[in-house]
Amino acid sequence: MVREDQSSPEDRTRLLLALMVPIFTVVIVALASFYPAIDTTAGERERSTWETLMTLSVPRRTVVWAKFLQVATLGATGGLLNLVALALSLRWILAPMVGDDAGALGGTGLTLGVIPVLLVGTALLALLVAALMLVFTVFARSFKEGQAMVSPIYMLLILPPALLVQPDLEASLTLALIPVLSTVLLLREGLTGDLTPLLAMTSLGSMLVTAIAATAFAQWVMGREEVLAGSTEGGIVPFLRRTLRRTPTPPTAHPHR
Amino acid sequence: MSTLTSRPPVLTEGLSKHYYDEGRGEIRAADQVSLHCEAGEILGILGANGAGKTTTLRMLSTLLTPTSGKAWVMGHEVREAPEKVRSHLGFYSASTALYPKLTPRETVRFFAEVNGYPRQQLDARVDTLITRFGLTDFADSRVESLSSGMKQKVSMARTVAHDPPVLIFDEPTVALDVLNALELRQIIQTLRSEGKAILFSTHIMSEAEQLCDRIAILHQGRILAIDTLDGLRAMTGKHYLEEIFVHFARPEGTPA
Repeated sequence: MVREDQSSPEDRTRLLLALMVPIFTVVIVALASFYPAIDTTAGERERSTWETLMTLSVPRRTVVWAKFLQVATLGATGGLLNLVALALSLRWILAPMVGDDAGALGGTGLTLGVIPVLLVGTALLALLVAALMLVFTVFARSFKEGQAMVSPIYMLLILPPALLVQPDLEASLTLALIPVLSTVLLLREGLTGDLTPLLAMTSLGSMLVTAIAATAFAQWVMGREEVLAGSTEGGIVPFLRRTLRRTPTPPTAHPHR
Repeated sequence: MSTLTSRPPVLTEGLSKHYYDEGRGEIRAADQVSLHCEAGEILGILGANGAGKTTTLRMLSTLLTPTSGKAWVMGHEVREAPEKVRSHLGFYSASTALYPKLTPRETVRFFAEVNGYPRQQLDARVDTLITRFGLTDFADSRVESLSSGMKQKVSMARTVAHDPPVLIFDEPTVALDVLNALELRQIIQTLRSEGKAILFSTHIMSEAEQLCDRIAILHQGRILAIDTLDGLRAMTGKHYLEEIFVHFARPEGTPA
């Protein structure tokens, strides 16, 4: 029996996009947030500039917000640049790969109306990633420790798109409720032209709620005295255990020295 | 509530910071600390490592929240108006480092501006401090390229950038060589002559003797005595500060 590929160039393009873009976006957003998150927390502690910053006469929540927005902005910029780069490379790299001329790529179903939805989804993903990473790195005392603390987040983020590598996985509203997976679905369905308004709203809504919750949690953690004073020991789990028992750690005389 | 002007620049009343440690139980890092510091005065806070000096100064500079008691800086209470407190004080310790990629000029400007120094006078203020601290030749080099002595001067300029009336020095000479420590003490004396209220913590007896107008002896979180050096001598019958310190921290009959 001879197997013959009967798919059209458009179908092959859709498949490639559905495989590549969601994974790339999540990985790039995580990568673009990784170093800024470590640098703005563990890096500041390692350089002993954390305490210097805390002596400024601006409200502490302003400092915390600035750090969060810095990481989220860089993460979102990385993700958005990735989308732009992919869009540009479609014509020059992907088209020859699928044996098609540039015209066939017009049939991917990606419409102008979908682009803002994808951008918002990527931005919300960046907010969530920034909050998650800061919650972990804020406990690190050195860049190296920060890298070790944030590595599990990578796995947590990359697992959903890895699952979706199977192109036959049906997008459903239930899947769209799962954080990160919702963005992956949004991107996949948006790029293949299968994105329905209900799925888009569910996915964006899920990400919005998760991003707000993660941001609020990160603000709470980073606003705690022992975290701001740099006297906390261990990571997020011992911190939560101590905080729930209301037993702050003793201060160290010069925690950053 | 008292008016902002009725209190000395720095005042604490029963300031305490307690912690709970699983192994050691309740720790009283600072316990009922009451002190004041007037304008043009250097109040030394003398104590061994772990005596509560840093905890007390960190509560005053709003880096830590007191468990109980009150503290005012220029009439602003540390828990009620932390931003106002920070805008009225300069905090210097060996652990307040500089941003390595900024130049001394950028550093001074940034800290003056963020701490509320009037914008129209910023340029003049930066130039004055650059000249005053002998940083003219290095004003536009990155901090990371400066020697430790020059970094210390930039750090001092950073501390006073917004011209705060209250200055806190938390063991500032601990990591400095003899000459740099001497220079830093001279700068602090000049700041006193300009009318700044200065809190200076140290565990080096000679430093406290030379520099401080009054000395508070802090031990295990509590102030055991607070007076001028002559007052402490009269109180204890001892001459040297080390003897005076031991007299309070380890009363006769207590095992070493």
